Amino acid sequence: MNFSNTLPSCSPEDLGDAYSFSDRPFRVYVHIPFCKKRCGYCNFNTFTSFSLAPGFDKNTYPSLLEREIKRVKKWQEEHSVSLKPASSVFFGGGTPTCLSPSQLSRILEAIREAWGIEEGAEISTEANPDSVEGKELFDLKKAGFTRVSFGVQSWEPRILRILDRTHSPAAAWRSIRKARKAGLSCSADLIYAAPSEKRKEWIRTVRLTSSLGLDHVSCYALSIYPRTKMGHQLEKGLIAEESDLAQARDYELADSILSRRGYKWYEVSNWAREGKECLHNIGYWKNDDWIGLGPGAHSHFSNLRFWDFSRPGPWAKAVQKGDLPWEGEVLTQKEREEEDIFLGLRLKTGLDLGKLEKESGKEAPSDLLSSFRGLAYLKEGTLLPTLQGRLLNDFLARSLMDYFLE
Amino acid sequence: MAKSEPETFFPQELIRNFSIIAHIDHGKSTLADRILSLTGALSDRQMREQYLDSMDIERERGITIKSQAVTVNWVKDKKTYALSMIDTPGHVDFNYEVSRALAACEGCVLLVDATQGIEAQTLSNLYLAMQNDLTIIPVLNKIDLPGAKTEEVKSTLCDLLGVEGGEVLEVSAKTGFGVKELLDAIVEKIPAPSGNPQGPTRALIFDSQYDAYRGIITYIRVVDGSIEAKDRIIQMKSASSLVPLELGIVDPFMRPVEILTTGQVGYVITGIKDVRQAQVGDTITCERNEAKESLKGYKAPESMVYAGLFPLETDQFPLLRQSLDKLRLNDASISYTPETSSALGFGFRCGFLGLLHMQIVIERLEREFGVDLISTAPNVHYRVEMADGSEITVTNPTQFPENKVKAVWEPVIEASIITPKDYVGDVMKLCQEHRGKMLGMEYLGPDRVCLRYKMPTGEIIFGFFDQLKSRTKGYATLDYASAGEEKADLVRVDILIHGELSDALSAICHKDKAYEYGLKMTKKLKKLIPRQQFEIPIQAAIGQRIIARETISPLRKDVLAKCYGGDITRKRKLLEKQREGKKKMKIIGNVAIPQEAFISALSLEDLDDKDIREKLKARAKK
Repeated sequence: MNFSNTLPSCSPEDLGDAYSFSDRPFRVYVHIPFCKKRCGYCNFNTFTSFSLAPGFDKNTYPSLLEREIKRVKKWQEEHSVSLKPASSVFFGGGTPTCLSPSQLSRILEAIREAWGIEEGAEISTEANPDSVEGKELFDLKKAGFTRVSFGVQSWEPRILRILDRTHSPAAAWRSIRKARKAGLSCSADLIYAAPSEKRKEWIRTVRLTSSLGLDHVSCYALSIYPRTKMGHQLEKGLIAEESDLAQARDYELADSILSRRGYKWYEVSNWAREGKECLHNIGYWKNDDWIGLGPGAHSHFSNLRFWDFSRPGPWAKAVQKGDLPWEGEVLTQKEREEEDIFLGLRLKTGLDLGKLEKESGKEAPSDLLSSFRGLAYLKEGTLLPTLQGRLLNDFLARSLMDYFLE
Repeated sequence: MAKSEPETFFPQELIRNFSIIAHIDHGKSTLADRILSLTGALSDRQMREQYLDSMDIERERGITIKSQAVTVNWVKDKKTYALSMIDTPGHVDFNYEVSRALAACEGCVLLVDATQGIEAQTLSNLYLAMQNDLTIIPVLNKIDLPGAKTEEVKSTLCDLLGVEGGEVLEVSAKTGFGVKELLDAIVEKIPAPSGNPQGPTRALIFDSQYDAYRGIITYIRVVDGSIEAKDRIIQMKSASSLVPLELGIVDPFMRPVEILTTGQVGYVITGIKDVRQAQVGDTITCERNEAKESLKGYKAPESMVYAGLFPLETDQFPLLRQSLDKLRLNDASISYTPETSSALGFGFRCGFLGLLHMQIVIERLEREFGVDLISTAPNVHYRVEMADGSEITVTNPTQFPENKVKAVWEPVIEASIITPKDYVGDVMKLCQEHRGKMLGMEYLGPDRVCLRYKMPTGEIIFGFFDQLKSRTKGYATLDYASAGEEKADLVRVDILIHGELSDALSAICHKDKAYEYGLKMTKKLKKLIPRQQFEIPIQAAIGQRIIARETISPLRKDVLAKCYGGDITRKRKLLEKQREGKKKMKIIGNVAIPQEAFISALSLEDLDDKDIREKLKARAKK
């Protein structure tokens, strides 16, 4: 999906000129826009054809990314945008494992060559549970990958059919076992509140997930977007969206099962064993710098947010020409403060209210805090969301913005 | 027909002033058009359909709201006459304007659609003409249509007026058939104006209009003496003295003249822009020939319906005030006083002649003046007698006292309903449902019945007309007039949102209808108010007693699960949009309510809900 045309955008050169220095860690995201089949709910920037534009297919993609990497580095150097080794690398999609381990490691090597990768850095890839073989997982490990995140979504065949997923529960189970054997840290993504999903089906899914020796679990509520397969079904009345009440109930169930099995929440949608949090993911919420590579990938450097063209044609053309395939925006001080609020509130570490009060010169009034009762509490100047506050995170964010940023 | 420069000076005996009165849709505007083209006042090229209805709304709704005065020339027996045609509105809401127009005439054309026959307003207009002692020329229109019942309608008309069949003219305004004969009859039958040309100058202001470029245009009828363009004129009531910028007649273009003589109808432009200085009903005289005694003016119109009008954007309040001031210039029947609502902010409590009048005023304010409005539910006015003997007039439900009330008086009307006899049973049932008391029933010919009822005004002005039409397949017609007041068992129903009173939603109801109002309003609001982080009770109450309740369950989850691929920008825009939306909401009882919720809740649209029907049925059994 391309939102860029609705946003005020400026040219890559303007972006570079407006850059202000940042000492945050640097991370790399690589978007792999291929899938064998599009899932019913998917509105991501991905394509089921392996040939996307002239000179842009599965085989040429690593070399296009190599070109983009070099061009980005040149831009950094030209504008004195801070340059440091990557603290984490994340391959997402689409389905990154549509590319062979050797192609993935070639991209990884290009990143290492351009920026360097910190010793012991987290290097993750997403994987479809039926798209990886045992040998491939060993090859990924050998290439330097440390972590693999499987799109399990559900263990119930009925729900997988509704979600229009291709894999079987058994295939997912085998993939996870092989990945663990290969020495990779494993994560599973689950989807809750699928149309007609019963409570016991969701409980079964979370229970099984939590007993597979995974390090990390993500749970996302199903969002149905217009112009997707499920969006059309919704329009025709073939399926119905679950209420916020049902979503909240599923979330609470997941939280209680996962925490009993040793997974602690660290971000609204993420749970992990102690020390196994996804650092790359946390980086998004902590306002780290990162470069996104590939069509539609988002990047952030200090006060700049920009994104690669999402349509493969224009993207490939720009990269082939040696241009930066970007559109973007320069954040105002107020926008950065807004982001600090809603990003901070999503994390277990909470929002530094003291800092906000100091910057705005305002103190949080008692009626504001009392309207947060049951949703968030103050501890040593930090506002920490409760379980209910995680669910009503947007309300908390809007209330704080209304008060502090007017 | 080539048009020569028309004569503007006429001796009194060559002047005829008349109105066309008719039930709505009986073809009055078409007849006026035909007269304009036949007399050469407008060439074919200039001819527009319904020329006299200049307001967009009139044209769209096919009804005439404002009276206008056009003078045309007509030659009979080699003499050129000046015929001034004063247009009148056809809807019952505007009876007041009809009587104003009639006061400036000596005669009228009573126009009846030959396919429809006599309708409720035909009668009321006829009675108004009789009260004003006007010469009445009965005319059947649309006689060329296949459905015309010319003879039948003619005989009813003869019975009504006590005239012979030969005196009823037959025309087709559409084709022009019979219109020449009608113009001849106007000259022959309607007397010339009777004023004294030598007497002190007196002219009656019977209408005024605000023009953005020229200021106030005042329409006058010279009753005695004359006014010259160079005269210093005096408006007797406001005692203001001015030299007119322009004196003229409408033919139908504004044509300046040097003098307006006894009996003539024309206009004056004085350049004043202050609404209050051009009061309809005031008398104009001139310094040269000053009158001591003013003419009998008009009775101020009575407001029947009241509603609060509030601008959607609070900064439009001054614009609303200016717009109402200007509108009042050519619609003296609007009244307004400022009011404040906790839900809707600053606005005006406005009085209207009826529901259609209210809708037209709102449309005009929005269309002509660009004010976006929200209106509260309309109500009538009540007189409340308190236990201590004092009295209050209530035009806004919030003024209705909660206790120590001795008696409440509500306005009543006498309604005439004319219907084919097959529907008499349905009409009687409908009137009973609306607390009507039957006064009488007469047959108007073999198939048509006139039913007369006394009913509370509040029962008839809201939706009664639509129900009447739907139960009689559109055949019944309705007319009504105020008939004083009666004691009634009324209560105020309040709506509480999260425990806080929302003043804009209070209503005064008959005791038997209070429960229904409470049920419907709470149900409507439950659907309209977005869920919040806490549970919201919505209650309907009479005083301290809760009569209906709905609960909006709390919102449990609003967080977006994922910011895909680090797309933080999208998330920020979404939150910004939500905050913008919330800024426009009204806060009542700590609940943010979008303005649209009030608009829908206050719309007159009825809520048909199975649950409500069952609850009401259960209640009726008890």
